Amino acid sequence: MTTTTSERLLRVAYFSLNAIKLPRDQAYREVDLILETSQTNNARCGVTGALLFNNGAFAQILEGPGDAVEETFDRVQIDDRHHDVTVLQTDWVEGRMFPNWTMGFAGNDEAAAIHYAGIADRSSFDIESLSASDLATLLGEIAKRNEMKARAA
Amino acid sequence: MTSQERSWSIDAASAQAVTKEALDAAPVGLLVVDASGMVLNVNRRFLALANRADNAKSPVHLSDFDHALEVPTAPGEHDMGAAGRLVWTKLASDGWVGTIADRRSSTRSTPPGTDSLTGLGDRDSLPDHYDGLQEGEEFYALYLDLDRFKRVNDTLGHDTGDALLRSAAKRMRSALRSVDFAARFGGDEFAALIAGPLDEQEVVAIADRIIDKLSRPFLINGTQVLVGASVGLARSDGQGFEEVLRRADVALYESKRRGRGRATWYAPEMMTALEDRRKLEHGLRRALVLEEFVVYFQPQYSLGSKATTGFEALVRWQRPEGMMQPSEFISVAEETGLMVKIGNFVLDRACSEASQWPEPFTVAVNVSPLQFMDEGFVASVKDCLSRSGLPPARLELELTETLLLNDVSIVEGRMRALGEIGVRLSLDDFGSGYASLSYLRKFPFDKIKIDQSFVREPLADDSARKIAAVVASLGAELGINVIAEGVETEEQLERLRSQGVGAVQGYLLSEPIPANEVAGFMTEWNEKARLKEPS
Repeated sequence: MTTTTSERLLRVAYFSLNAIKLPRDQAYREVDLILETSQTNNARCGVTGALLFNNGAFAQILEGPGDAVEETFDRVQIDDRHHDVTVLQTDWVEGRMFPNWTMGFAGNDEAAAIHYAGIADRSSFDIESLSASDLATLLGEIAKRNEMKARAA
Repeated sequence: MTSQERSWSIDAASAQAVTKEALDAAPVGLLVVDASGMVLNVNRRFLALANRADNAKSPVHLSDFDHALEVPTAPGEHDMGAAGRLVWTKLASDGWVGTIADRRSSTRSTPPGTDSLTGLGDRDSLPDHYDGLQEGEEFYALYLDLDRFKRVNDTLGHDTGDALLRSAAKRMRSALRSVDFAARFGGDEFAALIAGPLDEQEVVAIADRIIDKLSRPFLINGTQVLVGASVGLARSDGQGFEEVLRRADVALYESKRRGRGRATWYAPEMMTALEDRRKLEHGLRRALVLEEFVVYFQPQYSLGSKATTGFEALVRWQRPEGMMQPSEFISVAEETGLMVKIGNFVLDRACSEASQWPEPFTVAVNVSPLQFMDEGFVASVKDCLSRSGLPPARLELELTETLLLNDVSIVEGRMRALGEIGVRLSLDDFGSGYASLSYLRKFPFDKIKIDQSFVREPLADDSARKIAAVVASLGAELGINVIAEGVETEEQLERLRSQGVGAVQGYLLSEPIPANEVAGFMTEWNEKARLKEPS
């Protein structure tokens, strides 16, 4: 069987800076809104991924069919709520790192907040210091914890 | 159940219905006839294109169509006028299938006035939109093109380029307000009419938002693509639409000149400057024909052998109005691509002059990136050498750091090819631009030329002088000759000598001199030995 572009999965990891300068709780609400829309949009087109957010920056991984990921990425680019997008990685991959997790938000995860206290306390991520694979590992761990929490509930 | 059994499980009637539905959905007009012209099948689009209403009596024979259709004798095309071209293909069963590519569908079924690639308006739609504005209503014209788009097209292909344009159009649209109108003029040129009244800051904010969005990464076929955008802005000011648009275009040109990635308002002096550049371009073209360019030669002195060893060829434009320095016309020559011709002319003159000089005097010739990247460059070097009979080792080509920003494999390949001929290569203006030490490792240079900003006061401060020393020792380590340009005083000369720089060039020795003074200079100079040696 030949593998076409649309059958392989595209994984993209990127950082961007948050343009929403709001009090923390309002910013959270804003992000909840982003998540809600992207969850519905992305579930439909087969894009999954993970989002890490704090008051200063977004870090996101998108996975799915190439066209769909590119479309999602493009939609994200138009969004005025962030800027200075830096793509860390684009890769064609065999399987998903985040198969069951359409989108997640690490900002209100207590365990994550403690675990990543160093990051969360700063006004923005130190983009230079985190590589794409660091980011993937980081988001992967949060995803796992969220799943375990969901199962326990 | 096998797939074959499954396919037979549909009854004949519903299979026919599915086929009919599929044919009607096809984006081309389709007609199937037998050898006698009896219609076996025809889809809805064909009927629509052949000017037959869908509900009209179904055509039974070819002659039933409005157009004069006949049973073809050979595969080929039949012109159906406005409907398009009917293409006949012979079937194995002796019948014929005729297809008409819908003209409207060939432009992606876009309504007139729409750019088929992006769905924005097209060039023609803009005046219509303008006509829709109220008389005297204020508006702004925005003219935009993508920075570095050509490189995307060249390196990643036109499909990627087209996909990028589609995304770019969406982003541009998203940055505009619903009352604004956006159009694509072809290529990577876009324009917008921004409805007023707005104050200037608000218009700039819109332009900046567009630039910001187009400067964000694009993701195409799994690859990140980065471009940017330059914008020109003009206000209506009671001018006609075409004039305002032209002004925005002029302002765009200015944005690009100022380094791209920015929005610039039109100002009347830009039009004057543009007019001046046009005149200069015209003058350059004429100068090439009339051979108004002359080549001057500036001596290069070796501190080791204490002798003039060669000359750098420098172009001058001898206009009827007076002499013009390259600094005044090079940028226009580069912009218009005329630099390739001018450069080749200088190369030819330099080789032919140098071939008259005694051994082992060398000639150094500046090569602009545009000229070097031109496909015929290596061949024209060979031509100049064989025409003049100059031994290749006596020709030195001075390349700039900006050249090295081009496609590395092309640059490197060409440098190797020139090296094989035996031509010497030097890195000009070292340190003035994108100097990178990795260039010295990656590219086969025979010589480094330290930029005059590291040599000549007031440009050269203490740290600049130290850099000159480091470059000199670097050259010594790598076995690459180092020459310093712009040497004007004995003091500078002494400093460079003590720093280990191997050769110098500058007004201290001589200004550039006409070709016919070179021979005299050679004898006179070596007799005078004007440069004092430390005792």
